[in-house]
Amino acid sequence: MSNKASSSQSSIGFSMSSTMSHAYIQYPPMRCSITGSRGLFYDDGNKLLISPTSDQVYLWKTTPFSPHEAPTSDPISEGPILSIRYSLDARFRAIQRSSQEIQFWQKETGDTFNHKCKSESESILGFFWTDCPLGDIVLVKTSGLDLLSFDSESKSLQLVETRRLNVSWYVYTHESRLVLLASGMQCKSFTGFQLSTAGIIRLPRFEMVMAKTEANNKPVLSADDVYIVTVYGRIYCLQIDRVAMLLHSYRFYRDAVVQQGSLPIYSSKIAISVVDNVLLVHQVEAKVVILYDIFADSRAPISAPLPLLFRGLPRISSSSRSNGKEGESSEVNVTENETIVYGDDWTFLVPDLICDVSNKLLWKIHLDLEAISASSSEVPSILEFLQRRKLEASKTKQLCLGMTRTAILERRPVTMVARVIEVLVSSYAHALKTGTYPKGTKPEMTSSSSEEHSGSPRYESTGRVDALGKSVKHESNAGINNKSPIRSSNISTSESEDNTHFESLRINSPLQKVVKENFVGTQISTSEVQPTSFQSQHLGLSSNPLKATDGDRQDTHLTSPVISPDDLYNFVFAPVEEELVGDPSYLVAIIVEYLRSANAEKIKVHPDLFVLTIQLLARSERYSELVLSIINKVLEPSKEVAMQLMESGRQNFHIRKLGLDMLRQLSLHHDYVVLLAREGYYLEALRYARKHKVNTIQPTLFLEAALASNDSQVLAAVLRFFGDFMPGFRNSMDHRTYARILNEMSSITAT
Amino acid sequence: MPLWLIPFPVLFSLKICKLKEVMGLASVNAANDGMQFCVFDLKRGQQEGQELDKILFFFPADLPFSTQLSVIGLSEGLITFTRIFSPEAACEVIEAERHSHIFYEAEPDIWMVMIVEKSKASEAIWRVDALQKVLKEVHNLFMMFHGSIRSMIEKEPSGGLVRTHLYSFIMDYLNVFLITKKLQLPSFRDCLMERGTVQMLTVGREAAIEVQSLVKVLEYSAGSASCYSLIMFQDLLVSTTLSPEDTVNLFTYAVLRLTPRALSSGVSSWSSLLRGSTASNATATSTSTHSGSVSEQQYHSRDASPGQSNSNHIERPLQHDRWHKGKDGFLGTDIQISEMGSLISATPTIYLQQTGERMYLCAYQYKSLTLILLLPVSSLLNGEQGVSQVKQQIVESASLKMLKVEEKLSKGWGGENAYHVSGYRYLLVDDRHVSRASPAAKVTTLTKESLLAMNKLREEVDLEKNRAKLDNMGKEKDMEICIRAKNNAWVIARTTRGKELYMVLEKANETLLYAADAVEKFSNRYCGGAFSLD
Amino acid sequence: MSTTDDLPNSEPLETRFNSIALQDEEQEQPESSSRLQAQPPEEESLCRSVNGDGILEIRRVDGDGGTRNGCGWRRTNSELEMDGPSSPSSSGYAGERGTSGEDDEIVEISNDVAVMDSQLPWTPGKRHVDEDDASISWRKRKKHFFILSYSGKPIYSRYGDELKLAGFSATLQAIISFVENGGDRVKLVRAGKHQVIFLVKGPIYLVCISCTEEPYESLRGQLELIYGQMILILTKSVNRCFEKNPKFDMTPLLGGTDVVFSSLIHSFSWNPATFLHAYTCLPLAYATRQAAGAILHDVADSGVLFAILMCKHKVVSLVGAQKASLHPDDMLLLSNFITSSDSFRTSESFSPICLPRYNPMAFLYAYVHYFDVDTYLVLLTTSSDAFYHLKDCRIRIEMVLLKSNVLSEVQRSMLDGGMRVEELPGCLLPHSASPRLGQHKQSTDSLERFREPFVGIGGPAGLWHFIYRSIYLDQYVASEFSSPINSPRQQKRLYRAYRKLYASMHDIGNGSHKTQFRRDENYVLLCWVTPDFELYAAFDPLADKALAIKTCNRVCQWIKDVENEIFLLGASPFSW
Repeated sequence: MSNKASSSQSSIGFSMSSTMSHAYIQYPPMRCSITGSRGLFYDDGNKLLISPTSDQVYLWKTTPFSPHEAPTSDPISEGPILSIRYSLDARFRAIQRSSQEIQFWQKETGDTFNHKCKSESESILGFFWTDCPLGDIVLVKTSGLDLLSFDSESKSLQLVETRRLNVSWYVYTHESRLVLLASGMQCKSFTGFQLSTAGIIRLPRFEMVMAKTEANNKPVLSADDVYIVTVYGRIYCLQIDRVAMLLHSYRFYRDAVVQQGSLPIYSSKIAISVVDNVLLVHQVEAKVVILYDIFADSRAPISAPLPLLFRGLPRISSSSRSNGKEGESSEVNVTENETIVYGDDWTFLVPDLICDVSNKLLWKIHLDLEAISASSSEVPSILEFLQRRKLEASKTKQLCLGMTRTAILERRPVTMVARVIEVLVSSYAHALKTGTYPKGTKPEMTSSSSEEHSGSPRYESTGRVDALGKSVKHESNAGINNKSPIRSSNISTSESEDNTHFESLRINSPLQKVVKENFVGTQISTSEVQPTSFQSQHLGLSSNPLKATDGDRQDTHLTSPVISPDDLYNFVFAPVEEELVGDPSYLVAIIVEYLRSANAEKIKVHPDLFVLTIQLLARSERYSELVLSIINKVLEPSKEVAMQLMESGRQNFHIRKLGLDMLRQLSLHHDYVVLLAREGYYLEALRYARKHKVNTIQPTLFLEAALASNDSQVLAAVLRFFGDFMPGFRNSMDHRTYARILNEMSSITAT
Repeated sequence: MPLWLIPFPVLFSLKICKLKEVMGLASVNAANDGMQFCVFDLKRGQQEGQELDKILFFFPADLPFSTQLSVIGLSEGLITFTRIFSPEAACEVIEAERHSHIFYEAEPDIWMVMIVEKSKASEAIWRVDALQKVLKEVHNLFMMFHGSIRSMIEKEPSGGLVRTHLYSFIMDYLNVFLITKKLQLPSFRDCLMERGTVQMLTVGREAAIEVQSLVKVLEYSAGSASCYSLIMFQDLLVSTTLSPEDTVNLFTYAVLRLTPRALSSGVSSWSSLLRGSTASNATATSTSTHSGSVSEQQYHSRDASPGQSNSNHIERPLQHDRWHKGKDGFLGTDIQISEMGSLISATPTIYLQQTGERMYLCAYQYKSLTLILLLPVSSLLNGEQGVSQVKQQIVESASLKMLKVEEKLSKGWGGENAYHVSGYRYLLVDDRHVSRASPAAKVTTLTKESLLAMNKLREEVDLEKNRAKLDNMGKEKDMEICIRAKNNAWVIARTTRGKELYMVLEKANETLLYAADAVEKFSNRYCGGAFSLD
Repeated sequence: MSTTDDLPNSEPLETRFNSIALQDEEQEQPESSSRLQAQPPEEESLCRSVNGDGILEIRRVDGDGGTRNGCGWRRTNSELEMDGPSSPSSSGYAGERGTSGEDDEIVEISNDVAVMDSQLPWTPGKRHVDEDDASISWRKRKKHFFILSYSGKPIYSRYGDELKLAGFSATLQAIISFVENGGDRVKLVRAGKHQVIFLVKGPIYLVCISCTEEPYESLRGQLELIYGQMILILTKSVNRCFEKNPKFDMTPLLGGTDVVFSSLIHSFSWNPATFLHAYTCLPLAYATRQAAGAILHDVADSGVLFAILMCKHKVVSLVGAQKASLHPDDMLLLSNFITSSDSFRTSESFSPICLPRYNPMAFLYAYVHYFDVDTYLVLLTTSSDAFYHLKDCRIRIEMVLLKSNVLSEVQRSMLDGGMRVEELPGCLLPHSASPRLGQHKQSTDSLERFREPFVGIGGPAGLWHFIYRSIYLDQYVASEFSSPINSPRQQKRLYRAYRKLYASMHDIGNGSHKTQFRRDENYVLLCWVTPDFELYAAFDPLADKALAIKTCNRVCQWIKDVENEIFLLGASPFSW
């Protein structure tokens, strides 16, 4: 089961093991070369790569990322294209023809109409469609924001709302629904608006920090120095300060924007990607990428900076792929400049795509979780990292299981293994509470271990629930093409493209969302500065945890790498117990720690674990500990446990007695009576049977036992007992035969 | 020729008439009141005039030798006599009108005899088994600290070493029973108490897991040395990794000398348990000087054979105030001065009863949590230094968990009367030497008749149990006796598969079914239905 | 009771042994000893004469000239002077003396040791004479009884030849006196399953060594009875013999009485009277018993102290003159004495006996006459020359008994037996026969038909046996033994359980308990002690508590119903 660290999909082209990489681009890319293409545009609202030609516009769906999918095309009229975006319901297409004019095209009717700015003084910096209920499209102008809604009869745009402020430039990402309007001399003071289904929320103005250069001239912030990223459902803004070579991060709250510390950068040219909630800071010049998991407060990178590599290149590359320099490629269909990492015209699209504009290629960035895990010896923190990942959930899960197994087999210190298990248990507990781990499904386990849990500490990391709930509502009304129900399984692990799309869609978190996660934020990192006046309204949108509708989900459709107690037993404790050699008390110590964290999280443990522990304790003859853990119910009573006690107690009478007592306490009357009789206490067994009306017992079993004692008095007693206890026994065959035997016995002794 | 071939009288008298010549006149048995206690070795003093050599310990030590010898003579005579009829189980008790002689063969041919007086006035009505358990207890504790008596004799055949050790050890032990200058031996008032058993603290599952996790941490922080641990909360046992017998010995010693109550009150909690009152702190020295001094010279004079290496320092683990709370949380003691005689006191060592393995005894105390760790001497090569190093490791890795366990246990702690069940006065004993009983203060509310009735019933049950043990080794006695005594109290005893329940119900009404029903309810509620039979 | 401290030479334990062991068998002869001669009795008459040396000779004369089984005895009882050689060889002691006592079980040393087949019917007299304290079989006996004098001389031993046990008996004496030197008196020594019980009665020491599970009080009671039996034969005045001569050899006095002791010891295992201190009556119709009582009453007026008509150990009727009350123990010892010696059966006899509880110091004279093989009449008088008068009384009584066919009724009652647990009335079980006892049904066969198919599993709710003792009447009634308690060994085991129950209830210390329920793997025992009656009931170990209690109540009801047939009412000594 243990999935060795080497990446499974690597084909022959995998670069030599010497150049490690935690992030890679998977060959083949998506080829978007169209003859006569007038450029490539990326509509992150609908995740479309758009390549307009003179009369047609070709659209490639980037999520799910399927390289060989043919583009669709729409007719397009002539004219300069500054930017092109489709409406969220794909019924309209807007093209910014000039700084004053935007042309709209309705798909069904095919007719077009234009929208011009009123006064020449202002020019349109850009526009984006919105799912805000008040309007359909937002125009960002130098003089402010216009929210317009489409009026179907008059086929024109009505102005719904406008916000006056002068804007130098703006940054917007659809997944965050947040637009940042930069203004001011150095363009470092910003106003943010979040336009979401929950309405428009205005963020207070805030200044970004710009380090002063010695020459004291004030550097101006440009649009591509600011990135909006959504990680774990939280919206951050990352600002590159080239002077200080720092990447400042800000976090957005409903009524405040808080500086979140800054990350060092090692090259002036930086690009940001987010893969599976992991922040990738590309040091483009240095051609390396640094991974950060900003879930916890620590700003330390996950691992050392490593190159971003190609994987799955279809040619036998004998030469070592040195850092970034490509070898001569004889392969016909791959030109060597296609394999230049961090090529000059690489543009990074939200959240994890790279568009090689010159070669018209679209790459998707992947994380090599195995490589990441293999790179660090800090198993517990790596596991925490893995447990937060959503993509390739089952692979991650096997990885976690494998790491736990190896930790035990290598007899790592108990405290460390305890920490590992605690991570797994708490992540499972959280998943249960937030409903992300479907209760009913037991893909691996036959008997459904009772997992009813009362509420317990919230699971903060991805806030998937709300997004889910949110996105469900969102999807239903916005009718985005991905109609399938949010939770549906088909999204999960097939090439993570749609997953990220799915990811971003779901993270379409209105500021409201910010409110919630901020509230959430307070829990996880006490150190984080909290806006004082913040008052968390009830999370209107936190939908109820979704129930898994179809129980029998295949393993592949697992949406989270969380490990259930049954998995932990079946894939960790059971196999380890066979392989582990030497004194079993080490494994017992780990089981105790597991019980401790399971108990803390109020999670039921797989009953077979108790059976396993009894075997271990009995094998190492630690009878005192076994007795104590049974009496104190550390090993919870069950029939299997009782039977195991009887089994392990074959030589030790006390242990057998524990088993018998447990059967009694579980009121398994029949088993208790039969076993008691087998131990020779047949009189006591009969008394117990009478008291608990166990009329399923076999008279002959006891009559034979009485006969074996060759004491006619005992035989008479048992015979009389059944006469009174069991109706109809008196005229049964047994009665007659044993009465006859009794007569013979008494006649011998009487003479 | 084999012993039983010699016609009995010849053998018997041979030994006895020798005694006569040695002592001269018939000695008047100055049986002083109170108690006599002696330990003697049948193998010694076989030859002429050497009879005195048999005696290894005699209390009161100042009893004239003639009396001592007549006690030993009678005891030996009756051991031989009863062996005619019951070779496998020799004399256990001699009941006379004014005295009872309780016998206990601690080791092969090493006998302990206690003679107690039955003066009607005092409360001197007791159970033979209870007194025998006193002998057993002092022997087990002696073996724990000094190894077997026989091995000590072999170490120094003249017997000087064993006599001095036995003397100081048993005198310290008897001190436990000394209350207001009078030896209060267990009497019928202690019929709902079982010596030689452990009292457990009932813990919830969560606390139990924490405890077990602490046990595992202790085990692993001791590094290579496989260390046994015994955790106690106040005077109750929480967890043990020792065998039942070793657990009982260590628990008994801890309750006497190590638990917070024992350390603070300076008086063994057992005696205070017995009397509930704060006994006078008659220090051991006073009694021993009173009777010790006289015999001290005699012992020494007789056995102070030259060249004896016994360092004048004898370990006296049972003495009062030998343990004190150290700064590092560990209990320090000066019981054992390290060999090099250096000032720092060595960590005392004990012998495990089962395996005979020698272990260092370290005790760590945090508030009312007492942790006793046994580290095998064989595995800590650099002796004292090794011990302190392991202690350090343990404190570092386990102190956090200890705090947590202590806090959890004290939250759940039901106080002195936690195990009181109103309307019942009970004693529960199981075959792993664990017992639970109504608190001593509650038992004293019973009338004297009820206590006497229960004492007699327990005597009967003891006889039945011993007989069953001799009859068929496998099966324990399974029986139930409910008696409505003269004073209308119900006195009940149930033994089933090794578990025993003794109970007195004073306010119960007259029908047998009512009493039986009361026991059923108790059994279902507190013993998991172990005693609910019909 | 003379205490030992005034004994002439109280030596510590060791000298006692010393004197016994080292000297050879021949001890210096005490100057006077009583003689016990075996002399062929003359025809028919029993005469008393005082021989030359003042020893009262009572020669018993029996009808057919020969001494039955050759142990004719003549006891001389010296009132005054004691003289005459008492060396063991000279005493007529060497008569065959089989081991008395119950079927002599050997405690299984280990399972494979062949256990003496205790199923053999008990034969009176002493057996295993050859054994002595060195032989293993002797040591393994389950219950030993010894009587020895305070000087250590063996008087009686249940097993083995007293002479060979001289050394062992000296050891016993040494133990007793050693403890007494310490100003104390040994009562019990316990070792494993064995108990050694000592009973000191003046110069007489009685010791029981038993590994049966009977409690100490019960075994001590048995020693008391054995001592009582000895007093019955010799009276307590025998103590004076010892005062004169500590080395006095009593054995000749008890010549030929082994059969009495062995029968008494055997009765410990089957006769509840031995621990209940009560006697039992033969079930008889009230009228019949009244008739017998009336005639005895007439006789009692004419100078007879007690008139008792008994059948085996059961009383038919009993009359005591002027406020004289007869203690049940005395009756037990008397009836045992009479039924165990065959010589009484052959012809009417007139012999001196002493009733320990009535007056231990004086002799009474018992006129005994057997009407049939089991029924006999005992007339007790204080005057030694009332033989002919008592003979006339017996003839008168005989006539009346025959006329009112009391004897035939007695025979029939012996056949029918007493109360049976299966016949407990009013219980639902179909197999219960109508209470035979109550309605004097003529034919008993109807009973047989009922009992056959369900034999063997006892009465309702598993009732196996019961004993009801009326405190006021000093009488008890015990149910007949029925399956599944059949063999003597099973009966003995049940009685031992009863003894334990009795001892536990009657702890002398603080009076008796009121109720006891005792269950182990063999029985469920229930016992009630009330001011007017005691009930002991034994059920099978699986009996249900509530049902058992109900059954016991029904037993009490049944006993009340048939009260006047099973008890001798109005016969209580205080009635006139």
